[in-house]
Amino acid sequence: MTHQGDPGETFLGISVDVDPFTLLGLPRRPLDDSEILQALGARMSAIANHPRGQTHEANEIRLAVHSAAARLLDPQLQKVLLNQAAVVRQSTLDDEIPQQDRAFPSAETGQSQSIPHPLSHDVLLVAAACGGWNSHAMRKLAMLAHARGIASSELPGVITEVLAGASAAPSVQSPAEENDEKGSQERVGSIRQPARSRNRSLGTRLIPWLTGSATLILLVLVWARLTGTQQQPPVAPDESNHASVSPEPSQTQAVQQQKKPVPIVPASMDARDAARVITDMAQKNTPLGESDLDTFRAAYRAVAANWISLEPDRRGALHNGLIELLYRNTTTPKTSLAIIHVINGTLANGIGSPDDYRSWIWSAGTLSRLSDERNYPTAIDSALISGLTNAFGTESPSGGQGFAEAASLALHVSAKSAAHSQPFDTFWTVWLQQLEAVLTPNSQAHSEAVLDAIESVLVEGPDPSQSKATYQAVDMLTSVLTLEPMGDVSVRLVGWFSDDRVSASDLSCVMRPLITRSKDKDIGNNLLPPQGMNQSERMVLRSELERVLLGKDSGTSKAVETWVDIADQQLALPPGSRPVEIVGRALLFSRLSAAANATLWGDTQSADSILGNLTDDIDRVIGSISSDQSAYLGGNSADEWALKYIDARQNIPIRQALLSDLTRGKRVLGPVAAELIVRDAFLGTPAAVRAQAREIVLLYADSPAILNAVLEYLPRIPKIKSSSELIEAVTYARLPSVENPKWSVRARQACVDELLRRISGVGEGQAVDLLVTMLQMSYEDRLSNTGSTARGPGNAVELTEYAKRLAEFWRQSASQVIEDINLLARMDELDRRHAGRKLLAKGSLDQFAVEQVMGVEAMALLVAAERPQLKQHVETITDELRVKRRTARTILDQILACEEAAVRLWKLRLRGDAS
Amino acid sequence: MNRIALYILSSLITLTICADTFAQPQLQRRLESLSPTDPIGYILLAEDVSGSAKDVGEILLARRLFVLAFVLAEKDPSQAEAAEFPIRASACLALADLETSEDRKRWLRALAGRIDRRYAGQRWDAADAPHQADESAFLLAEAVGLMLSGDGSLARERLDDPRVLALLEQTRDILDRPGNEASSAAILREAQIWPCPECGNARGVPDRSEGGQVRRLCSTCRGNPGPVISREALIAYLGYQSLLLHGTQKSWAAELAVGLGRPILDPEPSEIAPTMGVDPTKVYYRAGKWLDQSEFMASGAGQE
Repeated sequence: MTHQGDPGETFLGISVDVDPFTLLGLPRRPLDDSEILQALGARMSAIANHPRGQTHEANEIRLAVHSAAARLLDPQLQKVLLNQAAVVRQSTLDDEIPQQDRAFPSAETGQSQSIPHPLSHDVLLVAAACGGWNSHAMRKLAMLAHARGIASSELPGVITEVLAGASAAPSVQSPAEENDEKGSQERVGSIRQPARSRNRSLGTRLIPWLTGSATLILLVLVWARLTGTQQQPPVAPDESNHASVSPEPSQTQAVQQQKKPVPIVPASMDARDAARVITDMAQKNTPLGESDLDTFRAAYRAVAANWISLEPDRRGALHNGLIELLYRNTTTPKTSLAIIHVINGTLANGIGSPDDYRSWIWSAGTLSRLSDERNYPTAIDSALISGLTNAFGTESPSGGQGFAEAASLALHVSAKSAAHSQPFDTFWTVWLQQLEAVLTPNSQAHSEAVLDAIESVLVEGPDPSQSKATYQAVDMLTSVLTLEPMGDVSVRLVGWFSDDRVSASDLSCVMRPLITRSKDKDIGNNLLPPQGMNQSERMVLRSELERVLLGKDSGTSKAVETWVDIADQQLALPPGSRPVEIVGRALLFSRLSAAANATLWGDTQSADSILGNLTDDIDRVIGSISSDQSAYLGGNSADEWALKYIDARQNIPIRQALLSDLTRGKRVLGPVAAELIVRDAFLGTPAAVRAQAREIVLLYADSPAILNAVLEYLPRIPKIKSSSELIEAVTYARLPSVENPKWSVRARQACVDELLRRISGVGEGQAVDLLVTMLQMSYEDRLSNTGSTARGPGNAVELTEYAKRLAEFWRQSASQVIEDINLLARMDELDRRHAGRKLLAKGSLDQFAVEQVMGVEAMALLVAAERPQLKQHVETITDELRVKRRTARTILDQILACEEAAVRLWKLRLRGDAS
Repeated sequence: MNRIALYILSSLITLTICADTFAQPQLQRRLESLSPTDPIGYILLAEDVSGSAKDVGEILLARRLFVLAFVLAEKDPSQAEAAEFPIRASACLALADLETSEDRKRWLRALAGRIDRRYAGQRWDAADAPHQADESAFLLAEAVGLMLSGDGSLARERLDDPRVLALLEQTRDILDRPGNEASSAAILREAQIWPCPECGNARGVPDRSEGGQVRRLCSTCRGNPGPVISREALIAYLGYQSLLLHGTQKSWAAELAVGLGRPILDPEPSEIAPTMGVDPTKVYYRAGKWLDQSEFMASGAGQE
């Protein structure tokens, strides 16, 4: 200790030896906790802001201030001190006010005292320096112990020793008793005090004892709380989130706040007391000061960590108090923002422990409730929105949501994030406790929330057959549900059977506890999914569940019969010979497969829709093929406009006027007109005409005549950037730089391919391309229950991608089901054959056919594995497919053969027999 | 002198006929000596027949023998292992040499590569031509385009390049098909005709009836120099250019238009016999006929 004077004089302008009321700047009257904590906060702020705030002396005065606050926070001690103050005032004032022993009351109690541990004093100093007994203080103490050669394992002993001294001391002793017991021993320790005269006043003798005893009680409480926290798994704070939730006050301020000692809320202050502190603060008609904020922070954290113990009314009152605090402090935005920062701060801690998780949910709901109010300053609104975004991400409440709704949403969001891995072991227990605090148990909303959580775990989490945590989570969540006919759980359960994201083992995991716990006589073990349930068995079980749980005929059997009838009719029809007819028929079979897929998954509505519009649009497309293809480049070659333009020769105004005519209304350009425009767009003079002609080219970029003209002029155009850009615009292609030697080849290639597409895409070609787009949509339907998503513009490349995804789905499904060694060997053959075919494929048509046949062959393996009794029929279908593909005249015939085989396989799969 | 030459020629013809006359029974004997337990015999005879094949019948015989060698080697792997060369893969490559269709050649080479990785090393799957069109292909594509636009002189400049002309000759089968309006001859012919003899590709000519002050469309080219062709012919020429330039088609209609609609054959050993139209059970040759095991036994040859 280097400072020789009284540290209290230095920092606070008063001596540390004064009574706790004076030291904290409080009047001598009965005080409530909030006043004491406010005063403590103010003192701590004053010390922190002092230039010598980081010195050892400052730590000593902090200790004294903490000690004083601790004494006053104890109601009994406060009463004693008030009485004592009265006695002191009445007693002779000539008594010298004794130098208060700051630390060890036992020195004054006269009890037999052992020699304190060398670290005993350090414990107190470190606690004071670190703003209380926290992880930082513990770390610092451990370092000190290490420096002094004391094993870390001794530290708990030291603390226990200090605590034991406190507990051994009588809580309150009468002055007489104290006089009797007062010993003459001198304390051995770093703060040794001279023996006092026996004739000191009662108050003088009581003060040191009370000081030490209160300090130790304080340490006991703080130790108990902090060690409880330490046992929880550490959670790394998300720094980015922290930054995002506290844009204001500035980061520097935030750091300063972190450095400030947080007022210690007595552990006896439960959520209700803390809520009362906040509501009391709200009732005061004055803006919050620094110390108030510290108090608020401590109280808010106490509430947030255990908000589920508050009744809804009390929660409402608390939120009203918070809103009142925000409104009252709108004139000092810094204070309002600091309040929101406190709330956001609990969000930043994440959900790594039960307390943090409860705090997270509370703060998320609170922010939503606060944001429901109007007329906040923009800064406060922004801070609230920032906090909400941080909590909810993309699922932020749109506004107008109360605490319960927002907390439910926060629980939903957190359930989704916890589905992958639980943040702590008892996560789902805490989740259910909080859900029950906001939603009435057994209500529909409660059941829905639990079912949503189960779905998140099933869909997002690891497979229950692979993860014990998933299994336990589902078991825990299903424990609050009741499976009964016509109930919400039943509806959702049947829905999961139609959801491809929910696997067979997921269904088994969720159904077992529900069925076991169900008391309904109709719900028995016969509804349990069989081991290794395949898709066909799943369809059968879903129908049975619909019957038992929903009391309705699913209509699946009727839908299957309808599908089979239509499929048989279509399979019996003779195939066409024109390409457009073959593609149309392939599309029809693809639609039948899509309808079969929808039927399998119980989506009979979609199946009906597909079957109801099976051929109408196909017939319309084929029937609308125009036979007149004479003007395939569009327009009349002996165009009047073209004649005028030729006649205009070098007359610039007339040419410009004629070009302007073309911009007034789009018309069909003939080849002569197109070539004249393209010539001037690349080679025309002056520049104004050239620019105008370019605009026309861009305007008519989709015209085959314009593209043909560009191709014709290509060998003569200047290789400049503007030319390249114009070609890119009409061919929809990216070209290399004009300096690139490959530019000419690529430009010609782009023009040729695009012109070929446009010219072949008229008449029957147009119909073929239109049917390809429809085929793509049909494949999209077929992918709808496979977990693959397929969206995109209709073109041949996209269709190939869809076929590939479907083939992958079939292959994966087959590999999951196949156990027969022969079928496994055929799966290997299939892969090798597919690789060989891929290498032989040239264009998108070939590539589609390769993926398509892979899908059908994999599907055949799946059906053979699912229904071994139909293996022979499956082989007949695949043999016929092989022959048809081998004898096909064109690739379109092969494609049609594959689609037809797929329909035959679906028939086996849906009916389960070969009838 | 001429008499001597005539004598030598007639002697050669006589020798050839005699050789053929003697060869026929020899071939007959070799065919009848073939045994399904010895696939090597089939492939060796197939190589001899294909090497000296003079007509379609002999080519078909060689193809049958290669296919049978392939099938028999597949049935009896020990025989295949005893051979000093991979029978099945060799048969595939030999069959590829007999094929005229590029697709079939690719398929057979793919099969050889699948059976024996050493043949896959020959990159049957890699395109023979580079992915980027070479200069002569580009010039030929340009020549076709210039011919179509009536720029005959520019087209001729390109066609005068011997590399371009050679390429046109090599690839003429793509265009010169029955019923196809587009042809390699038409390219050369039209390149000579254009530019427009009346307007010189100016598209318009002075209208004499109006005193020459007003222009009218050229009566020869109707303002659009170049040959008047149908949509199918234009598609054929564009498809030809696209193949030369290694273009990529963007739609099924375009692919079908340029002839990319041929079926894909599976590179599967089991596909080779049915695809080649050979009955793999008929492995015995007797009295000018191929017999299967039962027919062979019934004929009594089996008890010989």
